[in-house]
This record gives sequence, C-alpha cells and structure tokens, in this order.
Amino acid sequence: MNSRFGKRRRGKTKVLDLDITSLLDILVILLVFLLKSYNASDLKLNLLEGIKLPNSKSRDLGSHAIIVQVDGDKNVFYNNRKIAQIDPGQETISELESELQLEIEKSSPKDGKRNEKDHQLNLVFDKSTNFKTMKIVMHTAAIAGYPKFKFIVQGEF
Amino acid sequence: MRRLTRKEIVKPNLIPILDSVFIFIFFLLMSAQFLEIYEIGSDAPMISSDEPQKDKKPPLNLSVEIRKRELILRKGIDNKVFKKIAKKDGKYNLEEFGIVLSDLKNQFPKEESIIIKPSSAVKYDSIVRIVDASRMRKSQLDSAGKQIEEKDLFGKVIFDTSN
Repeated sequence: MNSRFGKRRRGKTKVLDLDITSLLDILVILLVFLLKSYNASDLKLNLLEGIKLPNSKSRDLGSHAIIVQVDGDKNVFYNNRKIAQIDPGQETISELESELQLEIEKSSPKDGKRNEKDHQLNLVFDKSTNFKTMKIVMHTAAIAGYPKFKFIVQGEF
Repeated sequence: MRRLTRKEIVKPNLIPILDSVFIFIFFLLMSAQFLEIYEIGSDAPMISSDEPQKDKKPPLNLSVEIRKRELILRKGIDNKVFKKIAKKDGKYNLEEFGIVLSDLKNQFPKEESIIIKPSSAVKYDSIVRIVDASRMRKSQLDSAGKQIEEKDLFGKVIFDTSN
C-alpha cells in the first residue's frame, strides 16, 4: 500500500551542508577583541557605583589583596561592604582598623612570619578625594599592620 | 585530446577549529577586564634608628610639597628648598617639573626615591598626575638632540603623612 499513512518511501537523504564560514569570521573578530582586553592580573575589582578612578600612566598590574574603597561621600568600604563614614576631625577609622587586625589574626601563619604580600592593601579612592581623607585611611592601615599601599588607577595611554 | 573531468572541491573540516575557538572565547570572557586597571605602589614612611651610612656623596633626599598654587621641591639632609614651580593656566606645570627631575636624575642616577607631601586640600587626581610625572618622563630630547620615548625617574614614591 502506498497510502498517506503507510510505508514511507525510502530515498537517499541529502546531508545538509551548512556554511559556517561567516560564523567563523565573527568568532575570530570576537577572539581578537577579547585577546586585546585580556588582563593577566589576579586582581578582581568590583568598582562601586559613584567611584571614578583617576587616570594614570602607570603600567603596573594590580595584584590580589584586601580592597578598601572610599567614595566621594567619604564612605569606607572594606571588600565591598560599607563599614564607616570618615569624619574630617578623626585621625583613624576604628572600624577599618579592627577589620584589618581581624584579617591579620585570621591569615597569620603558625610561625608568625607574614610574607610581603600580606602587608599589601589595595586602595581605591574617588578622584575627587582630598589628601586629608587619604591620609586618615593610610594612617589607619599603617597602624593596623598594612604599610604597603597599592593605589588603584585607570590606565591612560 | 585530454579528457575533461569534473574535480571535486575539497572542503576543510572546520568543526574542530570552531570547537577550540568557542572554548578559547569562554576562557577569555571569564578573564576579560574591560576597565584597564593598574596600580601605583607606595610605602608608608618609616623611622629608622640605624646610623646613616657615611658616603662620599650626600644623599639626594628629594621631596615635593604639593601646595594649592605651586610645587615646592626640596633636597639634601637639611631639606632646603631649591625650586618652586608655580601653576600654569590653573594646572600644575608638570613639564617644568619633569625637566627639573630629569636633571636631578642625571646627577643622581642611583637615587630611586621621592617623598611626596601634598597639602590636605589637594585632590587625588592631581596627586596621581604628579606621581606619574615623578616616576616617568615621556617624549624628550637627549644631549645629542635625539628623541627619547621614556625615561625612568624616581619610581619609589613615599607619601609624607606627618601633618
């Protein structure tokens, strides 16, 4: 029987030849673009809203360390968590100091020797921040045991 | 007479290449940073109780005071002012600052440090520009009149937070 619902006719099925050349072109363009924006740095920074980084000619890649961010309203963020607001009259930020000291206690090895990287602190300031505010943060960090500062800036070439 | 035969065009198998390109793209997408972020390293100033080394040449001990209207450069153990650079068109004159530092670097090629002492009201943006100018100088002429692209000046920046 050769009805509509009956036996299907067996014929040679043609393999559909999909042209992927244009797709490959797009992928190569994407690859070049991504390779251009590839950064070997292990620093993962979630820049807070409202913080504008200053432009710099520095070419030193950032490295992983504790991140302290200060926005234009002098709010202090410790690893993206707001911990305090700087009052111009104060000399140190007690909240930041206790957080940093807690971090030292948590990360200090049994022999008590900390390597150089453990003393580093990534400082992210809004470009409108004045030196008085910067000084309070730097002073607090140095007291807490972090005398090496890494100022995070935006590349300008 | 030669017989004409139909030649079949050999198509390369692009699928394995496509697979590897896809994997590579995912890897790059994960590690891509669209904001170019760099760092400027600085140490907090420390007080040393060691006896100063007795060298024939006295240390440079270069420091820059950033004031609202000018840059004041000091040097030597007595911290004597040797240059004042006033603002030009409302901006710090970084060109002249670069020339002065370049001359100093020629006199003291082994010196790496510079102490930066900004006034309380100076903005971070201005400080970064001055730090850049004190670390590196771009586009200048050497003694033979040849263009030099870059010159390392004083790469070790220390902030004075004393007052």
